[in-house]
Amino acid sequence: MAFRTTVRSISLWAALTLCMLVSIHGVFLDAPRERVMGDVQRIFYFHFPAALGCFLAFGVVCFASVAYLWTRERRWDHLGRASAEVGVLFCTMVLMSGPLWAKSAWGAWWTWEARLTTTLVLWLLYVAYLMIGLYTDSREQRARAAAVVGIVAFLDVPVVYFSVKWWRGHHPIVLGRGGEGGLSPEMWPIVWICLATFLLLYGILVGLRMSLARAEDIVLDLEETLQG
Amino acid sequence: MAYFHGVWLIVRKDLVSESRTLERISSMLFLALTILVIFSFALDFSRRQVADLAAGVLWVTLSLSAVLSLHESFRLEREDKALWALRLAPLDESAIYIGKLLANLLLLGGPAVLTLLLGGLFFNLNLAPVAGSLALVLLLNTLGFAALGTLFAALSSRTRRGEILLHLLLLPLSIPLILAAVRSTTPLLLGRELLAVTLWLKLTVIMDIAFVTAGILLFEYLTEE
Amino acid sequence: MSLNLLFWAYTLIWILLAGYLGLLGLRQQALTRRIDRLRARLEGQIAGRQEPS
Repeated sequence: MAFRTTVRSISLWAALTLCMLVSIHGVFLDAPRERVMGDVQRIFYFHFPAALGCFLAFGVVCFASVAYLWTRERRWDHLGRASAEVGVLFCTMVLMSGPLWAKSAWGAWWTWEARLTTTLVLWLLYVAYLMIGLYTDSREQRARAAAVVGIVAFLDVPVVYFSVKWWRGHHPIVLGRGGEGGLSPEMWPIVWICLATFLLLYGILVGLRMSLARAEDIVLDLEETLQG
Repeated sequence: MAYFHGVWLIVRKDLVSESRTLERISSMLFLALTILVIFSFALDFSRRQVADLAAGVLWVTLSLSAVLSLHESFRLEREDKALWALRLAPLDESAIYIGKLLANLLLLGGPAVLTLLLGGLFFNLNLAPVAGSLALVLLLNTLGFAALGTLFAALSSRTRRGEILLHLLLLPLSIPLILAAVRSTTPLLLGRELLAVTLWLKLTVIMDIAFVTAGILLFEYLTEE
Repeated sequence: MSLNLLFWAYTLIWILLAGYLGLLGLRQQALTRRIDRLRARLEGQIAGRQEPS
């Protein structure tokens, strides 16, 4: 049984390492040099998957939140917590790489365009989500409170995005399709590879974090039983 | 019918308890005034054309001072364990939420109107022609803010240091509300008519619907012991 | 300059990842210590109960 788990974890880590190697090789050696921005555009190959992964993570938080309120099973709380942490991690990656790319491509560290602004608000929201535990007294309270916040925060995301988009509508700065961030067809396979890598990374990190949360929960149960 | 009676009881309870000390109204008003003064130094009202900034300054001021008032909205329930007693009453949690929401709407709206008038004074704005439109914008945005605020205040009042949590949760979530509020108010203050801002008002209405619904559905989970 | 930014962008990703995994590792260490303490207490309790009175 222990051996099976070891084989599984080794194979997962090996798969991740291989994917990363293939991705990096693809990004730097196969991907064409972008006409307008040059090599800096290669940031996009992890910036975009990180953003998608972040969005996926927070969607999972919302799902886990609903599931927890519905079933009150602790594993949904663990999933929500784990996914939120990984989501914040990916979000940080997006927020750090965005300005680096923007500075090189457009000369400004920050523009208040819809996507990056929404990501910033997202970061604030889910860091607040992670801090809820500091202000609640019991695990149950924290789980319930976090679940409510997890749902409302995710519902707020499209609202934030569209309101910022309407606000900034007249600005021509656009990332992604159309405008300067346009992808040529030969770039797409590499984007897919990087997306797959990030998906795998997300899965492994969430799995790790969840098992840690489960273990901490059990230890807490034991400690409380011994004290009582 | 009993449902609405319950809602009314809660609204009346909150208003009556506030009328004894006027604590929430006065502290929100005082903080708003202070923030307005700080802004006037930071942005140097005397030397520049500020009409275009007025809406932004006012809504930031209102948001920050409102959080203070919102945190107090459940303090009595927490301290006297009154929330527990409320739940024992044959009253649906959503009725408690709506009652609290309406009470907060009034207790936030009053100081908000006064702050708006003060802003008109400080910024030398002509509010009279757009008073009705401004009232509508104020109502819609305060409703959304109060909807979120009432929900999260139930969460933040659990612990004394929870006030920070209310700031951390409510302010980022209200960003689209504040944005829409400023976008709706600025044209009005610059003399345009209501028709110019209908798009932003529609967004505000959608947000109000979403936040109030979320509050009604999720409030019960935050009031369990 | 743009290559410099590109380098830092990729490096930051690795640093963030390593940082997070390191944090998880630290939490796991703390957990292991708590488990050891628990085990010691349990053994102490069991031993205490088996003491001939």
